[in-house]
Amino acid sequence: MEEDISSGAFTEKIRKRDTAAIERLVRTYTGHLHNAARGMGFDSETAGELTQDTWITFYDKAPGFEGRSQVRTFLFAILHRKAQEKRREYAKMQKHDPIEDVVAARFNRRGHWVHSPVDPEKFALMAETAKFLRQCLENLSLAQRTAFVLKEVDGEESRDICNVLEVSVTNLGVLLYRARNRLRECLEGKHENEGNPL
Amino acid sequence: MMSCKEWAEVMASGHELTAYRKMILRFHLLICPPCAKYREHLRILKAAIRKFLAGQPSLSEEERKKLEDGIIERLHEQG
Repeated sequence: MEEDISSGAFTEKIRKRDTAAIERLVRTYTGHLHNAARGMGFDSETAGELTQDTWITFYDKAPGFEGRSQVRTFLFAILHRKAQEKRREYAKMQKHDPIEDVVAARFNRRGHWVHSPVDPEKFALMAETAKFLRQCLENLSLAQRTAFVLKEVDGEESRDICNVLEVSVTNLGVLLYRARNRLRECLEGKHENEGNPL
Repeated sequence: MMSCKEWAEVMASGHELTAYRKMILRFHLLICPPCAKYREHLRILKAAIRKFLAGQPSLSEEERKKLEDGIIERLHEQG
């Protein structure tokens, strides 16, 4: 039977850069890392470079690996940092995001809707158009996009996403709030621009 | 009483709700069509992004193996 990757004995092997242990990790996680980089919006080739850089950094840091965070979370955190470097996008959080003003304008002073969201069927038509979704995803910051994808697609636990992005739970909520509203507003705008496609 | 704006914020940020607050939200969605639509939009977004990323071509078995081999070789040189 194969050894448990999260066991203390395996952690020790990682610290010692045991060849077989490292090789097993590479075989286990390379595909995930590549997919995650694609999810962040990089093309296949760039995703491959980021994946390779992630492993090199992991290898450098291996002797100090304490096993407190899971190997996977540790790897994803490195990948996220590499992706930030690639995009030259270092800020995890902006104090203010203009999307907040857009959302605020939908409500009156008492917090009631003045501009209701469009009918869900119409919204679905826009959301399911790959071209529109791709365009709208480009409006997200890297941290917003990563938070959204890890949450919605990979179903990761909030705690793990916070570790990957190095943000608090409160800030993760802010990132998701901005990501979802940016996408929602952008896609709804596509509907309005299209006139009435039906 | 929570306003629609506050409920929308709760829904979009995805903060954990107590069972009691969940019940109140469910009730609010029954009597508030715009909030119900908003909630439905968020659900549609989730399904759409899953479908979108699943539709992106991922590495073939061969390509992945090649990438892994390259990385392992690289790490050996490093070591």
